[in-house]
Amino acid sequence: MEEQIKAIMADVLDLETAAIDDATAMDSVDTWDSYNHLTICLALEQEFSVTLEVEEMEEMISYYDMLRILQEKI
Amino acid sequence: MTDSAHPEQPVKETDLESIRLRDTLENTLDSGEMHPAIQAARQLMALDSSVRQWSWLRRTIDRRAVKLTGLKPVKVAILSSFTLDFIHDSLIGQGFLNGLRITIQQSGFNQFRQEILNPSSELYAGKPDVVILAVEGGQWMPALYDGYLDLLREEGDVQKVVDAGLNDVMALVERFREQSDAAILVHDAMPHCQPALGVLDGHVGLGQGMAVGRFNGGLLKRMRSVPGAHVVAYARLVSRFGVEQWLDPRMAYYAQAPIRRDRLHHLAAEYMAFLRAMQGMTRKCVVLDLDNTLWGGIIGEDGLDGIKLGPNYPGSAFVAFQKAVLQLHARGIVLAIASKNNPPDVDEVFQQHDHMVLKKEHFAAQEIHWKPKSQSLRNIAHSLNLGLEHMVFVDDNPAECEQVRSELPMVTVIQVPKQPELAVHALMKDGWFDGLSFSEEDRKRNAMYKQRAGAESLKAESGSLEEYYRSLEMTVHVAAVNSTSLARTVQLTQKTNQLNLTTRRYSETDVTERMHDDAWVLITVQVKDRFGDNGIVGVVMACEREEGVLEVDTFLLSCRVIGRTIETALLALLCDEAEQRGVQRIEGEILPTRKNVPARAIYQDHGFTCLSGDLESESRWGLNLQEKRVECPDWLQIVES
Repeated sequence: MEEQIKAIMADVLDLETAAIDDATAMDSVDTWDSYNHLTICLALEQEFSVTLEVEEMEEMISYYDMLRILQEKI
Repeated sequence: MTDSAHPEQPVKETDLESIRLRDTLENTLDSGEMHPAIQAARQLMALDSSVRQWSWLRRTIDRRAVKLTGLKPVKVAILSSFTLDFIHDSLIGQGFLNGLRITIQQSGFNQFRQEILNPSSELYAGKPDVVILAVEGGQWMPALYDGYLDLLREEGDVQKVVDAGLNDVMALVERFREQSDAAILVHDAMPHCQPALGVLDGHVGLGQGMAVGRFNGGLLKRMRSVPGAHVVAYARLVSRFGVEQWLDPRMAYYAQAPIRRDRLHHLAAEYMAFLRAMQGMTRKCVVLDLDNTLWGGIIGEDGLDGIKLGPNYPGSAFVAFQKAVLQLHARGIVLAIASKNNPPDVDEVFQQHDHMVLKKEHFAAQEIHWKPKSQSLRNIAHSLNLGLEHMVFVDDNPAECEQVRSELPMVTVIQVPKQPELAVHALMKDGWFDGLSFSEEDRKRNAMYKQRAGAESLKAESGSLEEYYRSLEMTVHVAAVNSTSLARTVQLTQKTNQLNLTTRRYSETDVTERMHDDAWVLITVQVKDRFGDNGIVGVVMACEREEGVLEVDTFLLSCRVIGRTIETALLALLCDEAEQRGVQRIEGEILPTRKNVPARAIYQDHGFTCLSGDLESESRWGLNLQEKRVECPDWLQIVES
């Protein structure tokens, strides 16, 4: 799961997967705007065949939070 | 136990393929090999058209913006009554798959009225090539979508709401047309999935569903009268998936973005069919494999009784595929065969199999032998005088598909799926054959190409060229462009690539304006020969400049009649026209493109003097009528009307 999340973030945010860690967060990555944020959330839904609540999307503002929330759901 | 039962499975095969294709795409883009890059991107998206993949593709393209010189730039403005920003990735991505470099001007949601009504809006300032008006039915007919039951109380009111909605769209589109020549694509309306009266909708008075149907019908009719306006069949697109599989109510309320993110690329594909047609990229010819494409099995091995074609599965699916191909034929798409087979085996199927829908006469060219398919495609392109970039190659064999992709990257390759029931979808889903007009010429095209093949063989027999020209018994009908020939004129300016001196693409609006301007001479050319009527195959547009020069703006001939001296007749005609106007000089430019090599020497061959440039670059040519004029060859009979 970790690799899949990182791969999606890399694709959408134009980052190297190796550069993504727990601290990678919306307020520290320039390309992570609200448009790309929704793109990541919807790509994650598609990748893991889950549906996210809007509240969950709003919480998923770092790699760490994404992993945590997805692990709870799956 | 299947792989998917192991949650920690390593890398899937499709992921490996996806990584390989991404590498190929990046490398070919970096080295500027545009066709292979496009092929890799098409394969990548066929493998996995997920949200992340489109996002990656768009970023990969954007990062190399400066290197995309081989792509045609197209500016698209999106006006919408909801958030449609999320379509950008797939629209830009699909543009790339089609050789277009799309840039998008996105208006804020629900700003469409201000943008259209204000002549100094950003919409007009951006000078878009195409404008998309993606507005929901509820915006045009609020009372129909919200408060229908109140409406229903008074007889006739529902229809009034429909009419008011249509007037509203029409007024906006007309205002737009006054300000801009850009093409405009207008969404039709999606019906309600929960009508106010439920199952009773339409049983008492004009139902909500029926009213939306009337609106959509009226929209098509009205848009037909606006040059350059087209209707995007949004309702039909949604019905392909079903409303519940199309909308994301959560995102509708949260971000005003009602369309499911993983469906948006289908809407982009719908736009793309229009954009492709506007760029003259509609495919003209489909080249078909036979074994396991037109029928199941291999004729050389399974024999006439062994191949699968007929009322029972899987034969029934192959019959359906043949019927779809026959429809393409009726639409004017030229059919050809490229098959590795022994010709007598193939003839046996065509002559004796009871369930063959397609007959030999439907095919304008046949390459049935054991040489590479790329060679077959080259031969077909040559004998029909069609560009390879206008060809779609259909084959079930991945190796053949790969061979053609790598040898002829400009050819569109469709690999038909193993399950024959999916073949029609594979052939039709991308809209490769969609055009912006459908004329009598389209219906007759296949017969014309067969004539051409006939004329080619006559050429081989004839002793001298002059004898050949005479034997064709050609009549050239010239007429001023009128309302009947307008659509064909525009189509020719958009589609003709080879014998086209300037390759200027025009819309109906452009040509209509010139029809009303006496300075312009607009001529269509129809050619008949002993094999039949070729239809309108040429257009000349020239403008009388103040200083007494007739300036040739557009001079083109369809590839069907290249090499028949028709161009000489047209230049002679321009000389006559100039004289009648009391003009002493004809001038014109040649703007070289990759395709118009056959056009470059036309002025030189007819005694024009080069004023600037040369045969390899942009050049300008002139002819002084007091010194010289062009005479029409005596094997051409000219009929003016």
